[in-house]
Amino acid sequence: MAEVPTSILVADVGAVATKVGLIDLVAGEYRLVGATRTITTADAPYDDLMVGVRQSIMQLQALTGRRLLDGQNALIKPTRADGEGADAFVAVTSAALPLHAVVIGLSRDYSVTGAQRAVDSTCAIVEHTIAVDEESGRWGTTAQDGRAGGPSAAVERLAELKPDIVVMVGGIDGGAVAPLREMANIVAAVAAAMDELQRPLVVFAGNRDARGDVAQRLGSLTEVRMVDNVLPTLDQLNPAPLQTEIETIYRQRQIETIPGFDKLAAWSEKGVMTSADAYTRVAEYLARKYQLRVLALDLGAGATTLIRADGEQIKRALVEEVSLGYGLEPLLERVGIERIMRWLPAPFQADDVYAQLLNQAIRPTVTPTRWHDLTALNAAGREILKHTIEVWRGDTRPLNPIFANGHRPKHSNMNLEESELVLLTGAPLARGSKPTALLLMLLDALDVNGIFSVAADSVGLVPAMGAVAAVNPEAAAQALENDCLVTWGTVFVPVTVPRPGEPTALSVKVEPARGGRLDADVKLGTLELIPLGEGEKANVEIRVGRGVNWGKDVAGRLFKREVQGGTVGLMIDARGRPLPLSDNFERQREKMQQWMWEAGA
Amino acid sequence: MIEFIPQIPETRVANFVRIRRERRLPIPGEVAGGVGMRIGAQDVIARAYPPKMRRALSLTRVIGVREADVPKRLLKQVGDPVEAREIIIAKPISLGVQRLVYRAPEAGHIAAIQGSWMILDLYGPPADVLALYRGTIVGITPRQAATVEAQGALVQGVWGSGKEAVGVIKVFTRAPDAILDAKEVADDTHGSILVAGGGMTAAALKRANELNAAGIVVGSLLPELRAQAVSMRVPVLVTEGFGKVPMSAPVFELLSALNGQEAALNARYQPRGRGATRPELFVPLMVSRIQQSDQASEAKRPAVEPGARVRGACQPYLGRVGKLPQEFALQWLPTEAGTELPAVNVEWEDAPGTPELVPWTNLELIG
Repeated sequence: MAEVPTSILVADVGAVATKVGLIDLVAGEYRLVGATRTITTADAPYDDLMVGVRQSIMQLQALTGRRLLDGQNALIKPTRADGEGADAFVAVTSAALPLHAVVIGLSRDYSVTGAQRAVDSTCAIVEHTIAVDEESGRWGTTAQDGRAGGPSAAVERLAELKPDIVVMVGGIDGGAVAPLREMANIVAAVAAAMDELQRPLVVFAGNRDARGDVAQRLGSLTEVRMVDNVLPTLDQLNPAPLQTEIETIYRQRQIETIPGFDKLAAWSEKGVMTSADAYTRVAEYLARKYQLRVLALDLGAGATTLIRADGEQIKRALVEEVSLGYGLEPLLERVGIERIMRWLPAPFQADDVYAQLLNQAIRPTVTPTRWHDLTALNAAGREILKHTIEVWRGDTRPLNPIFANGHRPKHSNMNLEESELVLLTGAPLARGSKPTALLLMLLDALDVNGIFSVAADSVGLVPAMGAVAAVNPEAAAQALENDCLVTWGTVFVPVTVPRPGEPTALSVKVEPARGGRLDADVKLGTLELIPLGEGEKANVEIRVGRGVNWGKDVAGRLFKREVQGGTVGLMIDARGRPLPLSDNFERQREKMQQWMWEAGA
Repeated sequence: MIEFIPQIPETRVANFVRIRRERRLPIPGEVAGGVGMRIGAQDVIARAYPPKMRRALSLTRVIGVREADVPKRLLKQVGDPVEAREIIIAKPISLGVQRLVYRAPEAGHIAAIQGSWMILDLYGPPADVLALYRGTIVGITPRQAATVEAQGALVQGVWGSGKEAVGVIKVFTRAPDAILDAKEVADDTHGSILVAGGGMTAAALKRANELNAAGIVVGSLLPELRAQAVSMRVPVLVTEGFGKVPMSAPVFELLSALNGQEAALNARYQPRGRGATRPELFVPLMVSRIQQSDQASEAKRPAVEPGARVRGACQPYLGRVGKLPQEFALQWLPTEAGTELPAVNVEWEDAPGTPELVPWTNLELIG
């Protein structure tokens, strides 16, 4: 391999599709010279992910006319004098199933919540939590008045489940150890009752003074790993060591056991990253380079990822239980078909949509081509995004002040509303939905307001660029910006306080650099799509009416700036936030029809 | 034109294949037999003894005893069996005149005691794993699983409700799109694997369950019946998908040919990961009237090649069957988003002479 590889073959082995791309120097700049995709072959009947990887590379050979595999189907590495081969190979994967975890801690509000938040950003699903500070009924009834007490439903549930890992947390460093001894006794009793082949691995991330007691009670029964306390003091959350350990376990137990993984790792220069980690690097890079608050979304067929990065801190949620592929069945069980139907106009029938979504779940490799089917999937996409946002926000759990990554950030709260760049990758793009339809999906699901840009992954390899950066950062950056990302345009979402009878919300004036001028009045409650092509710029002036402002982005009622267009253009969303959904089902569907027309979806 | 043609998913529907299936216990137990042993579909190949319930008790709370005193108050130890109502732990109260006791609610054994916590396993019936596939044991993982090799006819489905059964195939409907209603489910359904090409109504599913049918195979299932299917004792296998989709021709033809034969219905469905499995119906060779001899050649796995049989995997061609042309190549098909998908001209069997350009990813090999 050359000191810095100039030609890089990159593979993304997803839950459903395997994508491969080739990056090379073209006229002094790194470009993605070709990209292909095929089905992922990790499961039966192939039981070898390398079948899909090689097939994808063979497609790439046919597309580019460049031989990349030799006669034995091994990589040609480095690039030969005749141009065959590539200097390096990097890979990412999201093909592994998540870990199933149980969290047991002393306090629901502190340690359990802290641990659950740490786990939420990893490839693990928390199936059950136990908090010692719950009402005594959870621990079984206590003996009184001459009567014996009863069993503990919470612990019996733990005994019923067969989790991959049990995360034990609780107690600040230097605090009381006795409650943790009891917790260790609980986990030890449950583990001892199980056959040794099925005992979970235990990760202890609590009071370090209790490590000895935990090891003594559990060490002979199962593997125990000790990490730094997730809550070393009451006002400091330290999730990173727990997250790192869970990711290590995930790699060892889930990723490295995928059939064919050993061969993929042997090909790869720097090991195989998870797609989520690689995508996080991409979001971080864009946030730092452009000084932007970035919201990166991956609507995968196996999992959904939401990353918020602002150059100083990153917060991520990784949701494995619902997705736009395999996870459609659990999504329907979680929210019901009615919640999805509210995002679809009148002609859509619930039975048809229900069947369409279930069929996509059992055959996630298919690519619907009818607008009807794609629109139904995008409706499901809204509910998946909303759930993922809840997980990211941790809305479902009460929280005392908690600071990310163990130190107080300059901004006390990361929030999604103030994002400046929204990035989308994943299944909806691969399936060929219209950008306007996907943009409306994002606007319906996200509460982002102000003025922000939207970009999308045109080839399915944006996350993988995070792995390319490990071998050649310049190649990753240039291929990402030259070829992987396509700008959809600029979106304007004013913060509105409805004023009945106010006839006009926004007066819009657009003067493209190429000449001409467009004036529009955008009423409250509507969307307006203004064409402005990719690479085009325009001076935009928007004067807002009373009760309307831009939030923190722009002071006053006048916005005046040069903005960029894109494949969608400029989208003005004056519907208000939160989105004015109607409680009346029929009225809501009429609204959706109107919004879809206005957005060109 | 696209020069390299990648693999697409496949569905096995064949009158003679050789399969290997692992039969795994839910928890470690005992695996019967040895490698090379012939086994029948209804033979118990493995057995485990899962507890009916695991009782988890804090002994300090249950009878109000300190953790340090638990050992001296226990009347039973780890591993000891207990009878129903037998005293496990007792503490004197009222100056020793009385005792506060905890009795086993049912028969079981003390699975674990750690500190003050006890796990009491209540006995339940043994969990037997049937061989399901009449054939030969070719591999054993001690205490966990046995692998059976069998030969016969195989129909893979796309969704299953879980559960397994052995029964006799009974094709109810004459046409692959006919929907079976309750009044058509005969009283002598017990032990039958009902086949209904177009699906079944909710009432028909209910009646089949009540009459102890062995299983149900349908071309499609209405989405709202999914929960009912999962809750039934009778396993349900879907061959095409959800909605109103007729059973595809190769599936209906094969099942019709197998009418009256004993079959194993495995409706377990795990779409991905270790142990990923598709639901399937299997008719062992020994009772099959299709093949006369063990020496008959097995149907080879379908492959991407000219003339290969394919099936539509999504609407608007879900369940339609066709063939790849003799000289076929992938072409680019524009989508509404302005992207392009690789596509192939498929000659549908129900519309000969009018090939249709179908995205490659929306087809599966069948055979």
